[in-house]
Amino acid sequence: MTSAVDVQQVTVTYGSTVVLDGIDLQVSEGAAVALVGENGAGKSTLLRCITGLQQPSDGDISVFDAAPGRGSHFWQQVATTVESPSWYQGLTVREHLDLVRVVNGDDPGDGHIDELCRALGLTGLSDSLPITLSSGQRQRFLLAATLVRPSRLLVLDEPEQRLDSRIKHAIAAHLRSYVEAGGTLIMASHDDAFRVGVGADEVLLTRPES
Amino acid sequence: MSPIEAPVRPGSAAAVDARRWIRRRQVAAGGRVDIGMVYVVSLAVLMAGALLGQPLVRVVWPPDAPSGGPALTPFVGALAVLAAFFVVLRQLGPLSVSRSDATWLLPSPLPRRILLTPALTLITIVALVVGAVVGIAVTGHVAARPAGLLVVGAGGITGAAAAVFVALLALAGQRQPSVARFADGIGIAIGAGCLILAAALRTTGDRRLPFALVPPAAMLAIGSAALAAALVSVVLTWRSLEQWPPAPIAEASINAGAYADVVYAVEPSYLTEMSARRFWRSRTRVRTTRLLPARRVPPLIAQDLIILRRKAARLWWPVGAAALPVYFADGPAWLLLGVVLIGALAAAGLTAESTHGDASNPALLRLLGATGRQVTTQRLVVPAVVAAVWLAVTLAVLQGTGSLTGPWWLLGLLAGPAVAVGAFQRAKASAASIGTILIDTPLGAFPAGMLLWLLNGIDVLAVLTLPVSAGLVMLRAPESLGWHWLLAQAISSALGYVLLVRRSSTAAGSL
Repeated sequence: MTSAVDVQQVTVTYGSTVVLDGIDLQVSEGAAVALVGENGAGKSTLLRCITGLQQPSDGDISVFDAAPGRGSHFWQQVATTVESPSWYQGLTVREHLDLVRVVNGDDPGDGHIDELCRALGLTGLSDSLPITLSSGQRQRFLLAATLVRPSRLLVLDEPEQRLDSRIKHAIAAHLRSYVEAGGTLIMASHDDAFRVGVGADEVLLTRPES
Repeated sequence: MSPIEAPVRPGSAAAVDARRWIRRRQVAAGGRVDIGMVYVVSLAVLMAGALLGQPLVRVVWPPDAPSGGPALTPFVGALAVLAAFFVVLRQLGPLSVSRSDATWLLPSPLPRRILLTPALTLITIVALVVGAVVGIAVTGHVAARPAGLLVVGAGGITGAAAAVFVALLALAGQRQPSVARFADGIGIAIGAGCLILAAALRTTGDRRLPFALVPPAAMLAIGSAALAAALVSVVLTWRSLEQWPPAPIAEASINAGAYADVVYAVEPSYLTEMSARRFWRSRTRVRTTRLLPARRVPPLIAQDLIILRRKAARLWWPVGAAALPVYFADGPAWLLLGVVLIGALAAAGLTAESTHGDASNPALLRLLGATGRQVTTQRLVVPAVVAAVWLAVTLAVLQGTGSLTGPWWLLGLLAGPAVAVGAFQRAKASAASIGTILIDTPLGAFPAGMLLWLLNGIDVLAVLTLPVSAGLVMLRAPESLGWHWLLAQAISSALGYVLLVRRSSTAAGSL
């Protein structure tokens, strides 16, 4: 099986604080991996490095055999919730989802958006402007925007955060079918039941000093 | 005796005590008013007075008496100023307190009337001054010379009464946001309508007033009665302050604080962002359109079209501003040029929020997986069309008034893309992102970001619209615009468009 993500001896330091110390991680294409560990173990930092949004202090990372984060080709394959976008102020929730799908060359009317909106409880918010959404609604909106676009690799930072149990189940099922269809998933998670629901293998990160 | 006192209900004197206590703590922490600051502010006021005092006095009270009977334009102008005053008051709140007071004192049991009295007094005084100046200015343009104190007083008092009523209207709007949106639209429409009407009067020759002016003594009596009624209404508003909901005051206080930040941090791009946030937050009844799924136009062009459609209520300003250059047609060429180009840049900036947002946080571009080049190519289209239409109308108006001859409207159409390139460059940057270089001045360090931000985009605009600029300077009527000017502008616009697209990033997530 070809490697989707290859992390070799990655070290990240903030000043004198070591966040990641010589981490190795290989994720095959079509696999699902959940990074687990206590707060401050470096899960989000590793995800940021994998998406190329952060440069490691040392070590190498390749995603689909190329350096991460460079060029439009990378971002056409990788979708992430590691960073929070500032939404277009004058577009509604539904129009954002339409835009994401149209720009990526897909048909927004194929029912995919409707299905995700139902699963994430966003149906009643279609006509809302992002500025009027609560933080929990924004989290679901970001998840929807990330999932409606086609991708080969999903990098999700605690996707279960602020979701109620019904939506959590629906998202877990959605991610499981994404992986079964050949997609690769790397996520950080604090929810063991959610991780099991997704069918992701556990990778434990520990704080370097402990 | 228990060491814990039972809670007591604070009396009304507690508000004054609380403010006094806070003031004492502030003085203890930061000292009293800085003498250096008093000196700087006084010097600035004196310099502004010395520089602008004489021209302002001439505008308010021209030395020559008007020929013929009283004209219509001064009244239209006064109405425009009062409409602008209303819009400014609504932008500021108008009733607000400091952000710390809004956080700590507004939700406390302190009497709101005492908390808000200084703000209400300030609004009333400002309205009285603005209204008096407007009233005296109208009098100065219609009264025969020499004008006695009675005439000046009648004008000033009537103007003051009108401005206080405008302030009361703004206060009423703040309390009822649903009515306010409608009132804001009317205020903007009146302001823009007056500008167009004044431009039309200037072009077609000023009309005399269709009725005779009221005698000064009667005017004084009417004005005084109106002022008394307005001041009584202010007192009634003051008495009703206790029933005001806290939300509009808190929101206005946050906005006023943000305006203060703009001045303090010299970061004017906050203003645009804040104004955009307020506008979109106030938009209700937005319905999802089918333009994007229909896929008839490229997606980012469809996005700009949707935004433009939703900003229809704001299109009054560019429409009104298209009449502005008529006022400057007989003035110096550089002033006319500035008004035309800045107006076009503002029109092209109507849909610039998305570009500004993408430049400051490209996460959404990465989510879209679109390259900077794709984004730039599409995002230039709608601004180019808007700027082209605005310039074509403006230059056609100047053509109609006889200031220009030849196919100027076509030159305007061709210059649209060049203006869009300037607007795009401008939208990409904020003062903070341009530079944090500090320039040392005798009064302290000054961040250069703002100066560079003010020029940002205008440099590109100046180069790419050179044919328009040179034409406006060199070819005033009766000299006609030749076709080679059109060719030069077409080449310049195309070159600017292509160069900007070519220079845009081929990576996703950067413009």
